[in-house]
Amino acid sequence: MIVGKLKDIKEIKDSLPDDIDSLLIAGCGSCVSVSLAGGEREADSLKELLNLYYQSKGKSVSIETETIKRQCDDEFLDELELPVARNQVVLSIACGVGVQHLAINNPGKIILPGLDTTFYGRTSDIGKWEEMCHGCGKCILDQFAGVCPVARCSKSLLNGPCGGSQDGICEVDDSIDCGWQTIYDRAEELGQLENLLDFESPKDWSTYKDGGVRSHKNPEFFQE
Amino acid sequence: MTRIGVIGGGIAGSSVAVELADAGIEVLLFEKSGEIGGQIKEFGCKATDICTRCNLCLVDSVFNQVRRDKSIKTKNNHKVIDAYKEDGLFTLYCDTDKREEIYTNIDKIVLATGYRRWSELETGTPEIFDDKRIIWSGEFEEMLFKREDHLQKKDLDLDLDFEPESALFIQCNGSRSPQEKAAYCSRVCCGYNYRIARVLRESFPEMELGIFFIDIQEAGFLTDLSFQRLNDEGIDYYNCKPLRINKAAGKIEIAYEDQQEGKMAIAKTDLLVLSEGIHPGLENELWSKLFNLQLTDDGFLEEIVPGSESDVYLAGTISGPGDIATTISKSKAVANQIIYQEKEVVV
Amino acid sequence: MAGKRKFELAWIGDKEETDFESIQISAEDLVACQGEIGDFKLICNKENQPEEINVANIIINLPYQEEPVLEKADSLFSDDYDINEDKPVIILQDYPELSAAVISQAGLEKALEIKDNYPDKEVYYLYQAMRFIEDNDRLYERARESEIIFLKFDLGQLKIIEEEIIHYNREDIDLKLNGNILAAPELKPAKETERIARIFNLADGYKEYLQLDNIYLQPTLSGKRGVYLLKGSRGPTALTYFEEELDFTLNEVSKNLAGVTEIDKYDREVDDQKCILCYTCYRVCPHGAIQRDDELNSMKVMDLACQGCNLCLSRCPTNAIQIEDDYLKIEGENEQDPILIICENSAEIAAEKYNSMVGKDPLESYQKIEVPCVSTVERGQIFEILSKYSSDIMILGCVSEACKHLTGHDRCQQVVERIKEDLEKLEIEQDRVHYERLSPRMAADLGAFLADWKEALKQ
Repeated sequence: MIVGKLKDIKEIKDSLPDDIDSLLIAGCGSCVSVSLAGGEREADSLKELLNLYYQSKGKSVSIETETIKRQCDDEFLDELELPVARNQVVLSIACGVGVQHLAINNPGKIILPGLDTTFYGRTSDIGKWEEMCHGCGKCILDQFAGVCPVARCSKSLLNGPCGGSQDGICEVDDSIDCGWQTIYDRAEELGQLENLLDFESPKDWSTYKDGGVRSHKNPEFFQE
Repeated sequence: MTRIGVIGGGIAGSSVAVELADAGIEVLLFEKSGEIGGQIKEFGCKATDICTRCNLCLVDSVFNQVRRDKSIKTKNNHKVIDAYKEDGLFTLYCDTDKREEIYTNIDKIVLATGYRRWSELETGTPEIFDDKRIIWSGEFEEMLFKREDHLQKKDLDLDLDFEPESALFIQCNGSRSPQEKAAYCSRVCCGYNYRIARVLRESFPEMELGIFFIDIQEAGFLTDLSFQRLNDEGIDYYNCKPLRINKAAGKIEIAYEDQQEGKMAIAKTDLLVLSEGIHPGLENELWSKLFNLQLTDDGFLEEIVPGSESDVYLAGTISGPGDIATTISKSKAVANQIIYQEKEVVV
Repeated sequence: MAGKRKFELAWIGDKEETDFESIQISAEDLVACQGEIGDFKLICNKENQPEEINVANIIINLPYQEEPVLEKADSLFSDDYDINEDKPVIILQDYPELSAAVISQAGLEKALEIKDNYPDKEVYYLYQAMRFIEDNDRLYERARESEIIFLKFDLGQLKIIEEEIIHYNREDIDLKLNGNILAAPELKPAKETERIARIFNLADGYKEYLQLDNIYLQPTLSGKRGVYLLKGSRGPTALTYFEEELDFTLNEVSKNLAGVTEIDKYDREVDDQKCILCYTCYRVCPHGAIQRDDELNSMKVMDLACQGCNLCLSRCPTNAIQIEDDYLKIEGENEQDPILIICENSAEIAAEKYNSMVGKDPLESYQKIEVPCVSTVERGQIFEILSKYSSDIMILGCVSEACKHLTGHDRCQQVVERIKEDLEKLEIEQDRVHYERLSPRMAADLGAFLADWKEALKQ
C-alpha cells in the first residue's frame, strides 16, 4: 500500500499562511490510516496541537477536521464539499494523490500537504514499513525468485550484485539489506539459481515514470 | 452459611480470604497484631530503573481488597489461643486486649500464621550485633519501605549515621546450619539480598559490593540469578562460608578461605548485611496440638490427614520457606480446594 | 455447527492427568487460535485440511529441548547410561552455566541411584551451586553421607581436555577425571515456540520462552485470559515449582469453567464503518482480546478477554473503537490546579498508602484523571488539556517491566516523547508535560515528590 509519514510539525506550521483565520484538516481513512500517519486520529491531534499553538500566539484560528474514507475517488469528496467551502485553507494529510485529487476538485482553494508520501511498502512490523515496489509498470518478479531488483536493490541493478555489499548489507546504507543477496538466497531455496544466469536485457523503462506521466484505462469499464 | 476461619492476616491468609470472599464465602480473619500485613507489611520496593521482581507490589492490592470486602470480617488484635471441634464445627477462643472472645460455628480453619525472622529468635543473639555497621536484611527492607530516591531522583537514604563505601552480604544466616537448629535452606534470601545489592549498585555506582554464598539459590520467578549475572553487574561473590568476623576499628573484617588460592583471605567492608532466613513461628507447636498437625523436624507444620477430611488447611510459610509469588498462588490453590468442596456439598 | 463438542481444556504439547474433559494437540498441528476464554476455536492441521476444535481453556505445556553440553557424555536425565567397570562416574551440572534447581535434584537422585547400585564405585559430583527444591536438602545430606565426592567449581574454572577428561584444579586439588560422565543438559525453549507465539499473539517472552518476566503474569499466566503456560513454554526455572503451578493452573481452569466475568462495565465497540482492518489494535493489544469479526469485516473486541487497558482505543488510527465512558475526564475542584494522570496500579495505590501512613492525601489540590493504565493517554487529548487548562500535566505510570498490561508504560513513553518533540519544534509549552514512573510501594517518595512539585509550580 502507499505509505506516508506526517510532516514535521514545524514545516506544517510554517506552510500555513500568516493571515489564516480558518483551517480544514482533511484526513484520509485508507492507506495513510493503515500506515498510522494521516487518519482521523492524526487529524484530530494535529488540530489540537495547532489550536494550542495559535492560542499561545494569541491568534484566533478556527480549525475543523473531516476524515473521509478515501481522498482519491470523487464520490467520497462530497462529504468534504461544505467543510472546504467554509474554511480558508485546507491541509490534507492524505497521500500526494489525495491532496491533488482534492485540489483538482476544488480549483479555487489552497490545498496544502500535511504528509510526506514515502513509498509503496509492506508492513514488516507494527509501526515499521519497508519499500517493496517502484511501480515500474512491467513486473519482472518471476525472474528474480519473487524479489524485485528494481525496488530492493539500491542501484536497481538487473544482472547481479554491484559487489559492494558486506555480510548481506548494502554499501549505500548499513540499515539496508543487499537486494541481490536476498534474490540469491531466495533463488537458492527455490532451486532457481540457474535463472539468475540468464542475461536480463535492459528494461523498457517507458512503462516507468521515464515514459512520462502514466494513466491507463480498463476497456471493460471505461467508456469514451 | 459457610464460615471459614483464617488465622493470620499476612499475605497468605489475606490471599486465601480474598479468594474465598470472591466466591461468596464468609471469612473471619484473625490477626494477632493491630493490623493485617504480616512480616512483609513494611518491606520496601527494590526497583532500580526497572522492576526487580521482588513481588511486593502484588501484596498491597490483596490487603486493600481485604479491607474493602464486606464479607471478610477482620478481627485485629485477636490472638487465637484455643480451639475445639464439635459436630463438624470449630469454636475459636481469642485473646484480645481487653478480654477473651469466642467465635463459634466455623466450618473450616485455614492456618496462615507465617514465620519468624532470625532476628526475632530468642536464641542468644551475639553481642556483635550492637555494632551499627552490622544490619539485618529486614532492617534494610524497612529502610527501603521509606525510600524517597526514585521519583525525587536523590540518593538513597540508608538511615545510617555513616556513609559506607562498601557493603558485604552474608547469606545463610540461621539457615543450613544444624547449630542454629535450621538445617534447611530458606530459599528466599539469595534473591532478596541480590535485589538489595542491585539497589545499592544503582544508587551508589562506586560502592564495593560482595555477597557470600554457600550455594546460590534461584531468585524467584524467571529471574536467573547466577555468578555470571553478578559478574556483569559488578557485584563480587564468594562461593564459600565466611569463617570469622573481626570488628576492627575502621572496617569490619571477614576471614574466609579463598578456595582458588587455597589459603585464608580477608574481605573488608564498611557495612555488613546479614540475611535472615525463615524460621517456624512460635505458635506452630500449639497448632499441632489443637488441630492435629505434624510438626516437621524443622518445626514447620504438615498435614497428617488431608484438609478435605480434617477441615484444617495450611497456607504460606507456616509449612516451610517460600517466596511471595509462590505463597500467593499456593494460598489461592488452598482457597480453591475449599471452594470446590463447598460446591460439591451444595450439589 | 450444532452438536459440536466443546472440550473444557486443551493441552498444547504434553498432557498431564486431570479430571477435565481435555484434548491434546501437538504444537506442530496447531495452525490458528480464535475466540476467547470459554470459547476458543483452535484450527488444527488434519492432513492439510483445517479441523476446528472448540475449547474453553488452553494450557501450553511444551517440553524443553535438551541440548547436550559435552559430546561424549550421557545426559543426566537418561536411564540408559554407560557404567564402565574400572572408571569412576562423574556427575556434572552447572556447565557451562548455572543450572536450574530441578537439575540439582535430578543430579542428586542419579548420584544416589548409582551409589546404591554400585557401592564400590567412585562417584564424583561437580557443581557450582547446589540448589534446593522440595526435600532435596535430605537428598544432599544422604549423598554426602554416602561418600559421593562433591567438588565445587567456579565460573570458568572447569576445563574439559578431551572427550572424557575433566581437569579440576582448585586449592591443592589437581584432578584429571577420566570416567563416565553424566552431564546435565542445557534446557532450551521448545522448537515450536516461535510458531506458538505467533499463533497466540503473545508478546516476546523472556529469553525466547513464551512467558514474559512480569510479576503480574505469575505463575503461569500468558497475558491472554484462559491461556496458561507451563514447563518448557516458560523460563528455565519453571520446573522448580511445577506441581504447585500445575495445581494453581488447574484451579484457575475450574474457576473459569464456573464462569468468567468481564473486567469492567464498559463496552468497547468497533465501528465497522470506520474500521479499515489495519490490525493495529490486534498488534498492540497485550491480551489478545481483539480479533477479526468475519461477519462484519471489521475487528471486534472480545469482552471477556479484554483487560481494560484502553491501548486499542488510544491507538486506533481511525478512532473506530468507542467506549461508553468519558475515560479521560478530569476530576478536581479547582481548574488552576495541576493535573495528574494516575495509573490505578501504581500511583493510586501508593497515594492511598501514603494517606493511611501519614493521614494526608498526596493528591489533594490536584486535578486527577484516574486511568486503568497510562496506555490510555492520547496525544490529541493531551493537547486539548494543554489548551483548556493553564497548569502542568504529570503522568504517573508504572516502573519499567512492571506494567500490568505488559507494554502500557512504554507505549505511553512513546506518546509523551512525541508530544514533547512537537512542542519543542513549535517552541510552545514544552515544559508542561511530564511523565514519571513508580511502583505502588513508593508511597513516601510519591508523597514528598508531589508536595515538592506543587511548591515548584507555584514559583
